[in-house]
Parts: sequence; C-alpha cells; structure tokens
Amino acid sequence: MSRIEVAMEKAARLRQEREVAGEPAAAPHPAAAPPKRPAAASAQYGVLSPTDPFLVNLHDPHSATAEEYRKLKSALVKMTTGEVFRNTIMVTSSVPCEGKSLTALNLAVSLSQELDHTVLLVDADLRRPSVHRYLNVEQGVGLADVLTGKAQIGETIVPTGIGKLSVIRAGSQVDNPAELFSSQHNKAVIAELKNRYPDRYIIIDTPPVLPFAESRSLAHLVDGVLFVVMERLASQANIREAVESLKGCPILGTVYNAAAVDGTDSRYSYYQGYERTE
Amino acid sequence: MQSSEMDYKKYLQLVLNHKERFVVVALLIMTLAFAVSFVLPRKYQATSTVFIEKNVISELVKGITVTPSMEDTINVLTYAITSRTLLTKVIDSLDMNLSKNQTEMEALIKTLQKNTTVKVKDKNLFTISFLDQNPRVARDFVNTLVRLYIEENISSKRGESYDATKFLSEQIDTFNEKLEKAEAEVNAYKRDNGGIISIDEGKLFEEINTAQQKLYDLQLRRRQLEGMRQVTRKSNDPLQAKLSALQKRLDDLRVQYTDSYPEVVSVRSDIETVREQLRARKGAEAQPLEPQELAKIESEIDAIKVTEEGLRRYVANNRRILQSIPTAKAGLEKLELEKKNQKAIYDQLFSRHGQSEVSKQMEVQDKSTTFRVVDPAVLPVKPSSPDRLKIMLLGMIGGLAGSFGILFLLDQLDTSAKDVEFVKELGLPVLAVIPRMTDPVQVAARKKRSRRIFCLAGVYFMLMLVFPAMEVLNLTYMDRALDKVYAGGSH
Repeated sequence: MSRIEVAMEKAARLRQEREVAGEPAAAPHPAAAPPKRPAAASAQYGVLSPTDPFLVNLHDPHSATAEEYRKLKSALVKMTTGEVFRNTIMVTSSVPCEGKSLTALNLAVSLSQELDHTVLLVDADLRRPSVHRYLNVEQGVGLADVLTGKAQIGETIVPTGIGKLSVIRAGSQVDNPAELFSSQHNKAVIAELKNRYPDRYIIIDTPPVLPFAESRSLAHLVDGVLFVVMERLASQANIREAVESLKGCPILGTVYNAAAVDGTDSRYSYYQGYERTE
Repeated sequence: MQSSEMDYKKYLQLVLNHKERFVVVALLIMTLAFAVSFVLPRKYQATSTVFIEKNVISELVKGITVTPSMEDTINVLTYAITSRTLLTKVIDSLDMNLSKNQTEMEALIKTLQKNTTVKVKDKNLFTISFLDQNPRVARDFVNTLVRLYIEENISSKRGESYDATKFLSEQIDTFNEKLEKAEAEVNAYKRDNGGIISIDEGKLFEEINTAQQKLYDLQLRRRQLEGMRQVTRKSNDPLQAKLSALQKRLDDLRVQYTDSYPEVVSVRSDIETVREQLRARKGAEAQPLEPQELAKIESEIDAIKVTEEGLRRYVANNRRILQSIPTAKAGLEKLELEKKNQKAIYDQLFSRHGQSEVSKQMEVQDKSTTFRVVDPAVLPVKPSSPDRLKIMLLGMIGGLAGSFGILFLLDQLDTSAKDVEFVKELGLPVLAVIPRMTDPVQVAARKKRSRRIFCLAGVYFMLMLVFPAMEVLNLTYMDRALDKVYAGGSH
C-alpha cells in the first residue's frame, strides 16, 4: 500500500512541476489530452491520440503502406543530409485531394520515429487546413497568425507526443493567403523555422499548385519539394503543367499515391506473408 | 506472353474495380436484347417438301424417248418458282391482290420473292419455304405455289412434247420433198448423160489407139500404091527402059573404071543421046500404059482414102468423148451427194419422230418424271423468326461484352495518370509508391452497397432467365400477351 501511495505522490509532484514550468502544449488543448497516455510519451510534450486509420505509420507500422512511407523517408534522408542539411521540405500536388496532408503526416511520423531527427510539421494550406483534423486537434493559433504577426512561432508549435513530432497548425482564417506567402515576412518565418534547430526537419503541407499561387512562392524558399500524384485523379496534362510551373524549384521527387494494389503482385504478397508470420 | 498476361490482368482489374457498374450495364444491355427479341415482328415459316419422282418406265425407255430434261428444270427451280408469272398466279388465286395498285403489286411480289426460299436436296428432293407474319397465309401460299408450279411444269412439259412431235413431222414432210426432188434430178441427169457415163475410159483409150494404128497402116499402103502407079507408067516406055539400062551400065562401069575410060565415055554419050531422044519426044504422044493395071490401083487408092477418112473421124469423135467423161461424172457425183445428205437427214428425222411420239405418249399418260408433294405445308405453330433464344443468348453475351467495352472506353477516355509509369516519364524520381489506403468503415459501407446491388442484379437476372426458359419450353404466354397489347393498341 505504501508503495502505491509513494507512486501517487510522485506523480502529483511531477504534474505540479510541469505546471510551474509553464509548458504551453497541454494547456490550450485540454480536450485533446487522452485519458490514457502512452508510456513512451515524453513528459515535456503533450500527447495527441489521432484515430485516423490512414495514419498507417502510427497505427499499422508493419503494413506495406507504412513500409512505403519508410522508403520515402529513407530516400529523403539520403537526399537531404549532406554537407548542408537541407531540412525544409514541402509537400504539394497539382490538384486538391491528391493526399498531400496524409503524405506529409505519414512522412513526418515516420521521420519522428527515427531516433536522429526531430520533426516539425507545418500546415501551410490556409485555405483548407487538414492536419489538425487528422491529428484530432482543435484548430487554434497557427501559421496564419504568425504570418500576420499576431503570434510568435514559439507559441504556435504543438507537440504531439508522437515520437519527436511537433505541429504548427494553419491557424486563423485569412482572406489573402497568397499575399501572406509572397511576403518578406514569410521568408523570414521560413528562415527562422529552418534555423531554429539544426537537426530538425520542417515538413510543410501546402495547397495544390495549379489552382493557387502560394505553393509556387513557397517552393522557392524550401530546400526540397515532394510532388504527390494520385492515381486516376489529375489529368496527365494537369500534372505536366504543375511540374512545369515548379521549374527551377528543388523538386526532390514524386510520391505516387493510391496505387491500385494488384493482389497477385509478389511484392505485396511478400509483405502480407511477412506480416502473417509475425 | 508477358505483355498479354499483363493486359489480361489489367482488364480483369478494370472490371473488378467497376464491378457494380459492369453488372448494371450488362443487365441493361441484356434487357434491351430481350425486349428486342419480343418486339421484333413474329414471322411464321411454312415448308413444303416436293419429291422428284422418276418413273420406272422412263428408265426403261431411256434412249428411245426424248423427255424434257429434269436437270435443267432443277437448275432453274429457284428462279422458276419465284418467277413473276407464277407469283402473279398465286396472288390471283389467293386473292392477295385485292385493292392493290401497280406499285403495291410490285412491292408485294418483291416481298414474296424475298420471303420464299427454295432448297434442293440430293437432286431428288426440294423444299419450298415461305415466311410471313400470318401462319395461315404462309401455309396457303406455299401450298398454292407448289401446286401451281407442278401444274405448270406438267403442262409445259406436255406442250413441249407435243411441239417437238409436231415440229418433227413438219420437218419430215419438208425433207421428204427435198429428197424426192434430189432423186429426180439424179435420174434426169443419168438419162441425159447415160452414154457417156457408162463408157469405160480405158477401153475407149485403147480403141482410139487401135484406130490410130489402123490409120497409119492404111496411109502406108496408100503411099505404096501411089508409088507403084508411077513405076508402072515408066516401065512401059522403051526409051526409058533403055535409059535405065544405060544408067545401070554406067554405074557398073564406074565401079571398075574412071570416067575417062572409053567405054564409060561411050555409055555416057549414049545416055545423052537417049535423053536427047526423050526430050525430042516430049510433048508428042504419051505412050499409053497398061490401062487395066492402072485402073485397079487407082480404085484401090480411092477405097483406102475413104477408109482413112472414116477412121480419122472416129478417132476425133472418141477423143472428144474421152474429154467430156470427167465433167459428166463429177456432175453426177454432186447430185448423188446431195441426195445422200437429204436422205440422211430425212432418216434421222424419221427416227426422232418415232422417239418423240413415244415421249408424247408418256407425257400424255403421265409416265415420265413428275413432281410429287411429299409433305404439304402445315400451319406453323411456332414463329421461326425472330429466333428469340438466339437473340437472348446473344444479348447475354453481348451484354457482358458491351459492358466491358463501355468500361474499356471510359478507361481509355480517362486521361488521368493511370499508372506509375507515367510519373516515371515526368523525369522526376519516384520516391515511393503508396498503395491505396482503405478505410474499413467506408469499405464496409461500399461492400454492403455492392452486395445489395449484386443481390438485386442476381434476382433480376433470374427473372430474366424465365423468358429464355419459356422459349425453350415452348410456352407462348408472352406471345399472347403481346398480341393482346397489339390488339389493344390498334383499337
């Protein structure tokens, strides 16, 4: 009994210490805090419990899809770590709904699961923000507020409790996202994000290239662009046009999304078999 | 091999991805085909089978008779049966031409021709079929057509036989006349040139030669006699005789001596003297000869001359005859050839006339090849067209194929990025290929929906199968229902 009491006391003391330290993460999202916290969660961060089934690297890390994201991650890491650490990476596509946010999220999760990197995911799609939805977080102070000067970057970073992943949400609704992104201030914000921590990956989820101008401005500021193509969505001409419009930007490569899985494909059946044996 | 397998997989995937759409479209096409199979006008086919009967007698009298060829009849059977004349007769007898003008009649005949089929089997059997919306009309048409055709065929064959016999007898008369004329000509010619024709050329030639020889002999004899007459006259004169003797003496002497021999000289002078005397005597009285002798010779010469003249004439005449013999013989030959030809034709005609007489009798007594209706057309119960079962089956196959075609077409029209190959072509590295992720809830909902669709489709398909089953079992509920609908619609 006394052991239990000691443990309870210790927990209460820890909670008090955190409140004293004034950690901003847990405070603005009391609803997001789940009753059951994973043991791995660092005490320093708040813990989110996203339930979206498409976050495969979180829920089903042994699946073929998660494996694909890991491949993407390792390719990316190989491409960005050199003499200079090219850590700002933006994810975009030609038209909406090609899976940019999911790609960004899964990639971020995958990266954060690695021991060497911390990851910051920025939801730059101010028109139709979705990162908070996937992560089950309320919309709150975010990038838009930083860009309009209403908030500091530090205030907007939300720890997720998933590995070493933090998130900057889209923030308040604004009328002129294109102008915000083409501003000098934006440049400074990106530079600040990039240089805040030397070992951190900044993954920026952006609006599609063809309908909006923001991505084109952003693409010139980042170190690398990931171009997402979803099967049977955008026409081939659209995709070509989008790639053309990103000419001159550092496109790292493409992610082919939602590929029709052929059940007889030996590559995947291998994985399924592998999974089954586990 | 590899690529074809890939293609097959691709198409299978295409169908699997859109299986609901595939099934629905396929069923729609099937339904359409079923509807068409019922809506198409029903046509009934009546068929009559006709046997071409070969009579035993006709085999027996083969070669003797000349019956109209059945082969030819069969060859033109289709055309003959669908000929305008025959069809017009059928139309008349079935009263199909009521209240029809010229153009409508044309159209009617065209339709009838189109709907009539003649099939020849084994050269001995043929069937005549007719397709019509009214089963009764189909049956009556076929039966009438067959009846009229057979009647017409028999009467035409009879007519042919009659005509042939008639023609032959006419020709026989004509050729008989010609033959008689030719015979008369030959006879007349023979009469006119009988002498010449019957002469043997060789003999005649021999005779001419003999006569010629005789003539030469006579001429020789005459010349001899004439010479003799001269001699007779000279030997009667003494001076002449003396001269001859002297001449002879001179010749003898000159054999032995030269001219200067005295005796030769004297003989010469003697000869001169005698000649002088002879010359001096000239103009004086001629020394009469022996008159009887001379007269005898003269008369003989005259006789010979007469004979010679006769012979000469004989030879000339015979030569002329000899020359005219070939011409006369050629003329006769020509006439005889003509006669022979006429005779040959006449004989042939005569024998044919006999054959045709038998044929005519056979036709008259119906003993030759005839048509016999083995199986008259009966009232067709089941429509032969449209072949609903076939259309339905085709509709089912066509539904699947058409549905697949539509899917394929839509896929072709879809210009979006369909596989990772396209992305690779962009020239950018493909860093990852993320499989399509599925939300179990959505998947479950979609599965439920598609299960419902498949259930409905299955039930619908089962219902549709009732129609071909009805066709197979020969149930005519649908026909009756359709008839009612049509009847209701027309009122």
